[in-house]
Parts: sequence; C-alpha cells; structure tokens
Amino acid sequence: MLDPIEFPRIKAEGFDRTSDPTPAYNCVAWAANDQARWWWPIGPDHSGCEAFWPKKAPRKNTLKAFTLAFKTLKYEQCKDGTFEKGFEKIAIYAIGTTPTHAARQLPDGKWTHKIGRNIDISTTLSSVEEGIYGKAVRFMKRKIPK
Amino acid sequence: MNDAATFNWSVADATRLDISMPYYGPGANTAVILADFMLAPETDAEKFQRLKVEWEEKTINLSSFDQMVAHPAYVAIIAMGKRAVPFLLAEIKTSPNHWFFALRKITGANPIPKTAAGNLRKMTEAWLKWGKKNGYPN
Repeated sequence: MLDPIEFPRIKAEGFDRTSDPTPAYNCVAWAANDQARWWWPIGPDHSGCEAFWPKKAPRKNTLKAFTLAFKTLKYEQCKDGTFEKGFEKIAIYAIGTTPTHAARQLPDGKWTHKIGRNIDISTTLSSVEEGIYGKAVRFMKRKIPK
Repeated sequence: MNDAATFNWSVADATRLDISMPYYGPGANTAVILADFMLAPETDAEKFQRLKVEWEEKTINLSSFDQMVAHPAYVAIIAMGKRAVPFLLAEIKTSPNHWFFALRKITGANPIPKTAAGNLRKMTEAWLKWGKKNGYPN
C-alpha cells in the first residue's frame, strides 16, 4: 500500500492504518487538527486560493513559513520529538531546507501522519524518513489544555 | 488489441505497413484498416484519462502542493489547454481532487473565494458554478 521505494523504512518499522484515503486534507492540516482543508503555502505562482495557509505566516515553502504557521496555533519550537507529558508536539520534515511533510505526536508517544492524498497512519517519527519526505528537521510543542 | 490478436497481427507488424492512404477503398485490406485504428492518435478524452490516472497514482503520497502540480502528467494536462476544461470539470464533479490549479492556469479564472481556500468541497462548488456560467454543461 505504501511504496517501499518512497518509504524505505516503513516496512521495518510498521504502521497502523487509521483512515481511508482522502484528498480533502493533507499532512500539515492533519498535524494542525484540521480535516476540512488542504494546508500549503500555495503553488508555484503564489496567487491562487487552492490551498489554505494562515494569514500571519508567509506564503513561502520554507521552514520559517511552516514554523510561523504552527505558531499561529500556539506551538513553540523545541529541541526534538521526545515524548513530554502534558505537551503535544509536531514535526516538520524537509528535503534539505524545503518542507515536504508534517506529523503530530499522539498521547501515547506515537506519531500520526496523513500521507498526501492517501491514508492516515500511526507509526514512529522515523518510519517515513529517508524517502520522499526527507527527514524530520524541526519540532514544535504546545501545552495540552487541561 | 484483442481484435489484433484475432487477426494474428501485432503493433510491430502494423508499424511496418503503409497506412498513409487517404481513405479505405473497396479492396482495402482488413489488416491495414485495423493497423490504422491501432495507431490512431489518442482522443482528448483518452489522453486526459491516461494523464489523470498517472498523476493520481504517482503523486498520491505527496503533500506538497508544489510537487503535486509540477508532476509531468499534471503539467501535460495544463498543456492541453481549453480542450482539458470539460474533462477537468467533469472530473471534479464526480471525484473531487486538486485540479483547481490546472483550471486556473488554463482559463485564467480564479473563482475560489478566499474563505474557501483549501476546502475541497467549496472549491469544487466554486469551479462547477464557474463552469455553468461559462457554458460548460455539467
């Protein structure tokens, strides 16, 4: 189901499928807990409305723009994806410095990923690395409201 | 292709034939007519379908909008120009997907309100409404 050429670590690390495929939202939206929109800082000509992006973040495909987008949801940059009780974390993946993917940590420490227009999966942080998403390069966290 | 198998002809055989004849006369060879059929260029509908399936398969795991719309199959659909518009509108009606960028690039129209940005259902509605207004039957 997930191509081992695109995801070379997925077979070894395993995953649980947690949804059907849908083009309604993508990984960034899913990390932001939004299942109604496709989030992206827009396509090559930067002039359409084909994707949602928070107003306060620049419409550029950069780590800075992604960081500012998640800051609008009260996330702050943190060191890594280690589980911290009372906090929710997100990870931004990139090839070089170009963002490709985002994931959100679940209360059990696993990570939930929306794979493009494909399925949602629950797995590790590293299982989708080294393929089409590159590496998890930036981490952010926010307090889970009590 | 099943018909070709019945006649024991392959595409390789067909390519060796002279199929430049302007019409099929009364004594035309059945195999020549069949070869012409087999080598006929794709219709717009066939081309759109082939490119659409390729794009859907090859980009299903991408989240990056930039990468999705830069895929050669997507670019080739944009290159079809206005001939692709009826197929794109029919496609989003039956199976909504991210064809809105292609529609905007081809038509120059931008009917999606800012409040609908990224919302598949609302973006689809906006483009179908545009299609109706611009003479594309739904």
